[in-house]
Amino acid sequence: MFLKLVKHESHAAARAMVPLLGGLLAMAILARGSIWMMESVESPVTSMLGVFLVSIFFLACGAMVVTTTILMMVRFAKSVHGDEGYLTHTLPVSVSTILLSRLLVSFLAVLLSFGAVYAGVRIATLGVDSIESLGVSFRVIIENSGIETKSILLKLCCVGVLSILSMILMIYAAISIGHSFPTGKTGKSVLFFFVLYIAAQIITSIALVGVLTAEYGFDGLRTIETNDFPSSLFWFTVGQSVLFGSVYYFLTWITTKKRLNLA
Amino acid sequence: MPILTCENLSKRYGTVQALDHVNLNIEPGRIVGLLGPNGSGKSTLIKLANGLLTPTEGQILIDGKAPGVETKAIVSYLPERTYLADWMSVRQILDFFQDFYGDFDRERAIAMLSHLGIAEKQRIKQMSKGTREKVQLILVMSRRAKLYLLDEPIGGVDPAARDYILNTIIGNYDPSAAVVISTHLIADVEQMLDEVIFINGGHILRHTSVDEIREEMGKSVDALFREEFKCF
Repeated sequence: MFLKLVKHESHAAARAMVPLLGGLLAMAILARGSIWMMESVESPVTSMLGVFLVSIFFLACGAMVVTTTILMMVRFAKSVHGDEGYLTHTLPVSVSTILLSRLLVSFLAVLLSFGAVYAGVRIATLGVDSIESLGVSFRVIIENSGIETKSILLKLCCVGVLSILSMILMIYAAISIGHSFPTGKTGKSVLFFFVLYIAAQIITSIALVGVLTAEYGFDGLRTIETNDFPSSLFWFTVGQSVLFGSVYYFLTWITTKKRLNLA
Repeated sequence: MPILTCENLSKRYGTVQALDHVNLNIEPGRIVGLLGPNGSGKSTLIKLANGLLTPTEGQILIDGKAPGVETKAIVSYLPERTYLADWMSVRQILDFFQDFYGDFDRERAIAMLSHLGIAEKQRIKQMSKGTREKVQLILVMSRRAKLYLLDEPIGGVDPAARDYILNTIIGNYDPSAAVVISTHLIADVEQMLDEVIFINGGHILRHTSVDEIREEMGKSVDALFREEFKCF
């Protein structure tokens, strides 16, 4: 049943995502074309047009992940707490299966949007000497710094995945709590998002200071070597994402199971 | 064994008591009218049976089990609202029902849809409100469920559509299954009912067979309902 839910949810998400991804890639090609035009034709008009198209493309890259997140939020609210919820919650599947299927599809959508931004930037800057030499320089700096690139990339990916999952679950929890009220559901969802976000920031800051103080002592905090940080921070971030993610999941689950409030 | 049992079932929304210690048994093979004015607790009872709400007190059992994954597989529910995503085509909806409900009879659904002239490629957003409601009813009645819970199936549709909906219910339900129809339009459904439950203020006022009302009291269900729920 889980895979069937994922299949149908992916279909629903793809409806919104495909035009978005297609649009971004088309803009990347336009941006590449305009860069080529600026390089080959020296005219104020082509320059202005080129700068305009490239700027629009980079703005669209920034908006891509935000738009995807908003689309996934709307999809969750509609299919779990809106009218579609009458169908979703009368399917012979558990609440956990419903939530996990939504989580997986939202996560894949966010990954896809990151992938599209990366692909778009690569297309837009394909063959642009200054950008390619910048990439080479960056690689040289990394290699010469003695940093274990593979290990750091792996850690960053791990933290990235957990943070994205935790963030999606925080949004789900806020929507679920907000929709458990009889009125002002959207407003209360936004309010609870900020409540959860601020609470998470405060707890994280206190915990981070506590962890570092326990490890290095008050005086040692001033003399921590920067090389110590990635390892400590990595495990701290992993623990924090797993813990908060679990709390958000539990809040979403309990609210959806016990306080479901379909209009 | 009753297909639906309520034992001291209560549901409260804040300070509002929607259902108050309801005791009820519905046997298989019966068509039951759940009748009451607006806000009497009809929809709350049906939502509780579907697991869309949690009881404040007492319990509700479907085929001896609390609402959950197992009971949802044997209950076919028609809510008051249109729950179909408007971007979906009829074919996609049929695939959806077929994927999740083992008792869904696709051929029967297609036959009923073609009878109404609805093509499989047609999207929900291209349909009128009445047609959407009919599609939803066809989907619900195309399941070989043990219990059909129909919440206001004829509310807000024209008389011709009402006839179609009622004929669809009568013509398609499994005779060994129970059908619960919640409505306040009694005259329209009276002829098809075996039993009636009068509900008001969260209390069951009467649970009796239609024959008893007609033979012993010499009244129609509609007349009795008007008498009992008279507004002063």
